[in-house]
Amino acid sequence: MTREITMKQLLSSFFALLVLASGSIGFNTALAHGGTQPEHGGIVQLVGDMSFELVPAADHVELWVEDDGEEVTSADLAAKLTIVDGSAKSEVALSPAGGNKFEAKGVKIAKGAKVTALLTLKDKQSKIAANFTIK
Amino acid sequence: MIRSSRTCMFSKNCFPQLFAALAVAACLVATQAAQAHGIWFAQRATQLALLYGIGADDLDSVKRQSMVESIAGYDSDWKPIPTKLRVAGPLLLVDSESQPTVVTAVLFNGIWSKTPEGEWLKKGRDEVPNATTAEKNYKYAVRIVGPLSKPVPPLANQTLQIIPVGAIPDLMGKPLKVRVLFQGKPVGKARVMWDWLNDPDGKPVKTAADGTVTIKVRNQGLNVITAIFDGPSDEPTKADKMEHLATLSFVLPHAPE
Repeated sequence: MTREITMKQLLSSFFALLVLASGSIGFNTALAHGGTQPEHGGIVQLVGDMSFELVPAADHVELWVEDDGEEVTSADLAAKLTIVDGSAKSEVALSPAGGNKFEAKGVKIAKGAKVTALLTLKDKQSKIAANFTIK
Repeated sequence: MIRSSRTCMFSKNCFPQLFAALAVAACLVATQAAQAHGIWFAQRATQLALLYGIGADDLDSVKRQSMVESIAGYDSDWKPIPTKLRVAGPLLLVDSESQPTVVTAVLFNGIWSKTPEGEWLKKGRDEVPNATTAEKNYKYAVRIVGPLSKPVPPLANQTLQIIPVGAIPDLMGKPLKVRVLFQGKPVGKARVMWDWLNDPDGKPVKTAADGTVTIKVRNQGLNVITAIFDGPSDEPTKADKMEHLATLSFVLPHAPE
């Protein structure tokens, strides 16, 4: 009897540990980086801790930025896009547009264009870039 | 009388052996200090840094900033992008106006002479006339940030340069053919090492007459390939030869998390 109870206890402890372990793995994964799914209908690229979501619209372009899964204030940062469309290359400065959003109006990015988003961090020196291909 | 090695350590008779061993060890250390260092680019806290050292010895690059003769960035069309180095704590970080596709650097490591006793001195043959060898040391580094849309050309100031032949594979363990250029032309007998950071004592493989050699990509992460070539001296009174050490670094991305 004593032996049976001990086994049950062991088993429940084992499963409890498994649940805890799987929970902590999921927790780590969720916290380590931003999500890979677009939240604004755009294209997401993860670069280290940073998540960039580029939303190319008909008459403007948006860039949404998260750092380690948390929204960062765009007003504290600077961003620009380098767009390579065939042999044409252009640069577009993005303006903070509230929250973690940057925006540039009057910009249309063609399909197939390659876009590099360059984010300058709060220290105004460190930069992180993400590459996109517009589909 | 037969002495055990333990006894020998404390015997007067063994002092010469001990000193000889210490001298050999000192020579080895001095040899490494003078010759076996390179420069390469690697990511530090999300930023690209210029590093100096060998293997896991990532040494003080900031104090060597004055020895950096050039730093350059290029876009995917090989047009220069304004690029400089900035000191950030103990690191030299690359600061470019736009995201570069490739970054390069050159560091002049001075003239070193080896005394008959095996000690390396940072002096020329004119100051160490009995030197067994005197050499001028240049270090070069090319970092492929990517993505590449055109083959890597011979780049400015890269007297010795490693160029990938064809696309760089996505996975470690796959073969990678590289060509080593000296003064823009393929060079044979350059000594190529596949992993400067994790296998710094590995046996180099020599390039063929067309400058090529095929190695395996060592890491699913940062790869730093090295080539070493001894060229003629441009200051024969001070140095017998010029040692050129070039690195090519790139990253194979890890699988999605």
